[in-house]
Amino acid sequence: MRAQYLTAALCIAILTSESTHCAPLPDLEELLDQQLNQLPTNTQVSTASRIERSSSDSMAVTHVITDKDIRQFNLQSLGDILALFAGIVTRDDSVFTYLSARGIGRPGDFNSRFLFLLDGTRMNENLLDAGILGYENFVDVGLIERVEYSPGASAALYGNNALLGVINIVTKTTSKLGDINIAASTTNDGAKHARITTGFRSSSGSDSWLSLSKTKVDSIAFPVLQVPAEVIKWQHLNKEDSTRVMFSHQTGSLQFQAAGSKRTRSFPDAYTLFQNNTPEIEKVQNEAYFLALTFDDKVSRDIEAYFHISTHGNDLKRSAPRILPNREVIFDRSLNSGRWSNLDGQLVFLGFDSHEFMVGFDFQKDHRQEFSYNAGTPSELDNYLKSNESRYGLYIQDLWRLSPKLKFQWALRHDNSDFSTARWSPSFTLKYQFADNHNLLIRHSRAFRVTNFLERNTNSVFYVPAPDNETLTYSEVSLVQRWTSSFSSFATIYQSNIKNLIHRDIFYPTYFNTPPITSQGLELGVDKRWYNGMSLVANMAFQRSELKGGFDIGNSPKFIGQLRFSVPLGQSGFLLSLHSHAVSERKSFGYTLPKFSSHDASLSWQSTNMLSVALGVRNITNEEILDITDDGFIPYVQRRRQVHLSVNWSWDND
Amino acid sequence: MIKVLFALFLLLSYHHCQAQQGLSENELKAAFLYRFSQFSKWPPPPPEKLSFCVVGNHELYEAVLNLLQDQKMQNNTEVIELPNNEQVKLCDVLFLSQQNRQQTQYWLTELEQHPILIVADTSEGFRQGAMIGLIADTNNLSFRINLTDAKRRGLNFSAHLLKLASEVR
Repeated sequence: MRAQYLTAALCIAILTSESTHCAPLPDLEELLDQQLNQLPTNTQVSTASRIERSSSDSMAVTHVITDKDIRQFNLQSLGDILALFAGIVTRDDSVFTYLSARGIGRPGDFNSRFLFLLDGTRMNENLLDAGILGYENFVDVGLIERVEYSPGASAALYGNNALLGVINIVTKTTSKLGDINIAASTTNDGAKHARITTGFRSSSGSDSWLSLSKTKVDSIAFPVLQVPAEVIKWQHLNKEDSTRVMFSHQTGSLQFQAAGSKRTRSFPDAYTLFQNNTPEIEKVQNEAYFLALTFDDKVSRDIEAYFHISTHGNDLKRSAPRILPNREVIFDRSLNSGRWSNLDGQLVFLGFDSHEFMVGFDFQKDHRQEFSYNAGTPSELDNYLKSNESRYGLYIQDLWRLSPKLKFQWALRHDNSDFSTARWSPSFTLKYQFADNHNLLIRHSRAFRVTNFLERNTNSVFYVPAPDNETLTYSEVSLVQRWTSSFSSFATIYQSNIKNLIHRDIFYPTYFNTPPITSQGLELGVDKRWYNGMSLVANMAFQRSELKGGFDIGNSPKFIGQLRFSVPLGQSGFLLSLHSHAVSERKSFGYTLPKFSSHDASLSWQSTNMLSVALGVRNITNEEILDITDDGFIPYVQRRRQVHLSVNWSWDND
Repeated sequence: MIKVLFALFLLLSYHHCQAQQGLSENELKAAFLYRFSQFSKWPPPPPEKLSFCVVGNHELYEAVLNLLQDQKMQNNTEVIELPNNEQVKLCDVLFLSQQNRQQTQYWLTELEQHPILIVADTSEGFRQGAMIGLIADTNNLSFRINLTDAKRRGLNFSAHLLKLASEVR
C-alpha cells in the first residue's frame, strides 16, 4: 500500500517537475526586475573620484539610495532621500530644508557647505551657494535613478562648497520611465502631487523624455508650538504650490538637459492679523531654470574626455506685508536674482602603466548677482547690490596602483575668483586591501568655502569687513568590508579642523568668523540581505564639534541612528518597509532641543505590468520633534505624523 | 522497492534549474549573458558554435557552464575561462568580470576590429570598450550599450535589447 502511494507521488513529481522546478529562463524584462538578494560585488559610483568607478575601486566611502528605496519608503522630496544617509540630519521651517553632517549644521547656512550635482552639473545657486532640497528642486523624486553621497571634503576635485560632502543626483532614462509614466500621491495633511512623464527611445538608441509635475500643499499646519486659536483659523491660507518641468535628450556621447521650476509659498502674516483682525498674505516665490550640454566619451585608446557647458538662473522673491500708522497696508519686497554659466572639462589619461591620470578645469561666470530690497515706502533700508564674478579652478588627480592590493591617489586643485584670494586644495588617499573584500582607506584633504555674495555684501552695507574664507582640514580612516555575499559593513573615524567658519551674528545682521573648531566623529553601518528578499540597513553617527577652548558648538546632535528594514510578504508582491530614526538632544541659542526617535512604515505593492502602489505612515507615534533652522530663535516642529498614498503607472508601446 | 522509489523521488525533486527567485549575482549575470547572445547579430557568416569566454570570475564561468547545460546548449556552445589574452580571438562572447580600466585595455588590445560581443560588469570596462556594460546597483542589474562601437565591429543588436538598455551610446 505504501509503495502505491509512493508510486503515485513519484508520478505526480514527474508530471509536475518540469513546471515547478525547471522554470524557464527568465526573459530580459524579468531579469531586469529580479532583485539581488545578495550584496553586489561592485556597484557604480562617480561622486568620490569625479569619474565613474566601481565601488571596489573607489577611493572614498560613497553611500547610495536607489529608486527602489525611494519607491519602497515612498519618499517625497530630495530632503526625504538625504535623511536616509548615515550621519545626515535634515530640518525645515516649512519654507527651506536645511542639511547638516559631521557635526556642522549652522542655522541659516542654506546648505552651502554641501556641493549638489545633477547628473554631474553643479546645482548650488550663485548668491548664497544654496542647495535646494524641497519641491522647488528641479528633479521630481520619481525621475531619480539614484542619489550618491560622498561624505567629507572633496575640494581637491570639486572646489568651492565641497566641504562636508558631495551629493550627486542621477536621473533615469526611458528604459525605467517607460513611454508614459504617471504618478500621483496624496497625504492626510493636504499635500497632492502629480507627475506625467513621456519618453521615447529611437531605433538608434537616442533617448528623450519630458516630465511635468505639480505639487500643491493646502492648509499647512503652522510649524510652531502653541499657535493661538485666532491664527489657526487662517491655516487655509498657509499653502504651497510648485510646478516643475524637465527635459532630457541623450544621443551617443552627448546629453542635453533643460529644467525649470516655480514654487510659491504663501502664508498669512501674523503681525497684520493682530493689527487688522484679517491677515495679509506673505509670499516667497522661487523661479529657476537651467540648460546643460554634456559630452562624455573615450576619444582615443588612452584618453577619456568629458566636457560640460550649462547656464542657470534663479530668482527668489519675497513680499511681506506691513501696516503703516495710517492703517494702510504696504508690501516690502526683496529679490535675490542670479544668472550664471559653467564650463567644465576633464581628460582621463591611461598611457602610464599603473596610473589613472586626470586633469580638469572648472569655470563659472556669474553674469548676475543681484539683491534688492524695497520697503513699500521710500526708506533708508532700501538697498540694491549687484556684482558679477568669474571663478576658476584647475585640478589634477592620479590613481597609482602600487600593487594589486595597494593604491594611492593624490589630487591637487587651484582655485581663484574675482572676490577672493587664490587657494590650493590637496588630497591624499591610501587604500589597502588587507583581505579579499576588506579594505582600509586613509584619507587626508583640505577644503574651503568662499565667502558668498550674501555674506560679503551684507557686511559691506554695515561697513564691516567681509569675513575670511572658511578652510577645513580633514583626516579620516575608513574600513569597508564585505564579510559575505549577504553582509557588509563600513566604519569611518574622522577629525576635521575648521578655521574661520562663517557665522551670522546673533544680535547684528552681519557675518563673522568663529574661532577654530575641531570636529570629531565616528560613522558606521551594516547592510544585511536574506535569501527571501528581506534586507536590513543600519547606521550610526557619533559626532562632536567644539570651539577652541572646549565649548560645544550648537545645533548638532552627538548621535544619529537609523534603521531600515524591508520584508516581502510571501509571493504576494507586497513589501513591508520600516524606517526608524533617532537623534540625540541638540543645543541651539540657549534652547535644548530634546532627543527624539521617529518610526515610519510603508506597505508597497508592485505588479508585473508596471503598476505600483505604496501606503505609509510617517512618524507613527507622532513624536514631537523640534529644531532650530535659522537665527530667529524659533524651534520649528518637524515631521508630524503623516499618512501618505502613492500610485505609479507606466505604459510601454511594445 | 520503497527505498528505490524514495531515492527516485529525491532525485527528481533535485533540480539544476533554479526557480526565478533567488538567483545569485553570478547566475543572474550568466542569464543576462545568454540573453544578450540571443539578441545580438554577428556579421556573416554567423558563428556555428558560440564560444563564451569568461575572464576574472571563476564562479561566473561555472554559472555560464551550468546555464548552457540547463538550456541544453552544450552542442551549440562552449565555455572557456581565459587566464590571459592569447586565445581571446577564439571568443564570440567575452565577459570581462571585475576588470578596471587598464585590465580592460589589456584584454581589448588585440581585438580592435574583431566581431566579438564584449560584456563587462564594471563601468570602467564599459567605458574602455565593452559593447555592453552589465552594471549592478544595490538592488538590481541593468545594462548599457555602446552601439557605435558594436557597429564598428560589425555587430548589431535587436531593437528590443536597445529599448531595455538603461543607456545607448
